[in-house]
Amino acid sequence: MRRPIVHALGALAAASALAAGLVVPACGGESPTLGVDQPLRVYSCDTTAQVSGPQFREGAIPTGAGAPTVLGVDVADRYLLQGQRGKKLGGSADPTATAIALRLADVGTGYWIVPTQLLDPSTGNMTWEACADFGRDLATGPHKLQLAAVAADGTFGQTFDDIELVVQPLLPKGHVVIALRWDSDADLDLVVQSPTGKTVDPKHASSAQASKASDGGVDPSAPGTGKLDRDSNAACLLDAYREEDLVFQDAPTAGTWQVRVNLFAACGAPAANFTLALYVDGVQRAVQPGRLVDTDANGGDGPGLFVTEFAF
Amino acid sequence: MKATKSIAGLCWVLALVGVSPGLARADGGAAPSTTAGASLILTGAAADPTQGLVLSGYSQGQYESHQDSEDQVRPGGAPENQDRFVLRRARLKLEREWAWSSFLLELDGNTVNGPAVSIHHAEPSLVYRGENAASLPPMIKATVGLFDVPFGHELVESPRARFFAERSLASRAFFPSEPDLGLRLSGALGWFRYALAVTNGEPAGVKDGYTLRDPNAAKDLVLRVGGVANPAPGTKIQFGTSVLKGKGFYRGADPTKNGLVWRDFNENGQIDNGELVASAGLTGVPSQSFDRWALGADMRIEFETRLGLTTLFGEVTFASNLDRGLYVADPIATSVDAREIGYVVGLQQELGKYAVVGLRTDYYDPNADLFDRQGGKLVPYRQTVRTFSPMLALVLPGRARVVVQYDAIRDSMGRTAAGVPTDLKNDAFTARLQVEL
Repeated sequence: MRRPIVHALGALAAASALAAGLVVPACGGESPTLGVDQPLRVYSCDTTAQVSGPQFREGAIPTGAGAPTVLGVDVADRYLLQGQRGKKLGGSADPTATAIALRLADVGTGYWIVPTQLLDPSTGNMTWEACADFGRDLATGPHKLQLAAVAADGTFGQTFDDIELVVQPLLPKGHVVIALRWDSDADLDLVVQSPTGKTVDPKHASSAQASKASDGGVDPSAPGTGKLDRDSNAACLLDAYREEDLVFQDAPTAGTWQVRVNLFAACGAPAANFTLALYVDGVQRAVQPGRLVDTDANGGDGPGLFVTEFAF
Repeated sequence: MKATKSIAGLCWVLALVGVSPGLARADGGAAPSTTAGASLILTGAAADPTQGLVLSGYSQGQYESHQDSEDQVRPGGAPENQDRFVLRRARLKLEREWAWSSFLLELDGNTVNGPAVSIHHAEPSLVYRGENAASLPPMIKATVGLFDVPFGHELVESPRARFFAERSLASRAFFPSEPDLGLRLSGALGWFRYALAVTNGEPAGVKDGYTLRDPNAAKDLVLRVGGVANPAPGTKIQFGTSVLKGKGFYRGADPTKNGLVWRDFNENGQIDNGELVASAGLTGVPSQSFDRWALGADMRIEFETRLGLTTLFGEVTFASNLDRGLYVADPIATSVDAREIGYVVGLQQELGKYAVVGLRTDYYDPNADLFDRQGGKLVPYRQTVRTFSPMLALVLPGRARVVVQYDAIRDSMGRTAAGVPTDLKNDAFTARLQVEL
């Protein structure tokens, strides 16, 4: 009666050993990562392409001394925003290049391989093109775009790093900025009450008071006025910004500015962790984290959560 | 005594949910084609062996690990991580057969894409048994309902009986799930087996959004003819050839309204002059249907050896525009028919009563006419996926099994440094526990 159990245990041990032996040796092949966590993400601009697109590889671009070489890079605008997506990169290389390796020289953990496409009949050079997304947390300032052409035998050519991309902050330019950022698909609203009692929210995007001088309307260019730059995720139409900023081009009206955060709609998100920050001339002067959960959603019928106040 | 009590308890539970246990299928009632292993016969001795309510079921819980897992999500929120525990299948099946009719209902629960429970099979049938013995299928069986599409052997083989974790990649691409709605005529005449089905052509799991519905009036016609022979004691040969002919569906587009589109021509993230473009409303795009077909052949040989039962099996399918689960064929969008080919070959060996080992390799080319640009030239591109799957199972006969399987997947989804398509690291490991009711 015991024999079947002994056999069973023996077979289980053998199965486990074989399974372990099978799992340990990871076979060859390229990295399957999508590179979502990279500051530069490269993909094919042709969304209908049936063949595999650019490939991510860990590490620095291997250095080469000679051919093939990158001959030029086409970038419509070298200035870009943090988190900008769909920027087209392209260029030309020696006719023997079968791929281009590219990365940002100073950030990221690897590089992308982009297959070359066609010989340009007018120049006889090989062309390439790809689309690129840039990380939201990519440091502002200049970043060198580093490239190298690759030959059919896998030989990397000389590194090309003549192109410098300049990353600009997502934070809008202004003397004073009150910035609300959050981490989910919820529709959060920045609600600020000015010292004069005017409530600024996405439906009333300026802190200026109505006046006779402006025919009963508001003059958003009046001194001390703040303007709300956007209504992110409005009506749960997701825009990926998850940020709203009240921007003052000059000193805000003197007095106390009360700041609230209102969860207009949860949009299916269980909660939203937010950060409220004050910037003066681009320097962060204060920061206050907080959290709202889906049951706090009020469709605009409440004043929102009081977070802090700033005196100017 | 204990077993009797359990059975009585089950009868009581079934009575509560409105099922009346009938007489038992004591032996050799026409075993439903997808049933394997033990079943629970709900009552005792029967005057007619073909009558009885049979309750059976099994559950497959597993841990799986994939080399291409990442702790990220895809656009839309689908998790990229696949290293997880998953309830692959938990199925409960009720069957009853009378002299001229039969009934089968199978429910499926799983957590593959989150918790889900669905009807997996619903097979009300009229049966003419003829002279066929109880161990054979009926001579004629007409079913209208939800049943496995009778194309090849893999598709109709029960996951309960199959030792390999899943069907081959080609089979899963052509038929993302086994069942479809329709009419089926099937049966046995001696060694000859046949099945003719007319189905909606939208089996469960298709990616066009019309699962188990039918967006076009055309129906898929499926025919399988084959046989089962026992040329020598302990040896069994099953073989067949299958044909499928039908129409796929290309979904048109809704009309659009007038609108404004911002085109960031200079890529500076700002709206500049000339970057707001009028987008005039357009009429909708009509839907279209397209032809698809498949031709397949399958063979399975079983024979007794000193070690136990040895099983050799193979299946090949040639198809056009039939991929509905992996690289979905859309000849309207691409203007080119997709020529697909897939095959699977395997060996399975019992090691006594308590262990089984196996090795299976399968191949799938979803588009034999694909091209890629390499070094400025248009060159043929192979999108083929080849999988090698060694498998080991520990079996408690008729009750439970532990299966470990490694899938070494070789494809062309990566790129070498030179930009040439190459294999991507996406091997998979599965450890599964199956317990049968």
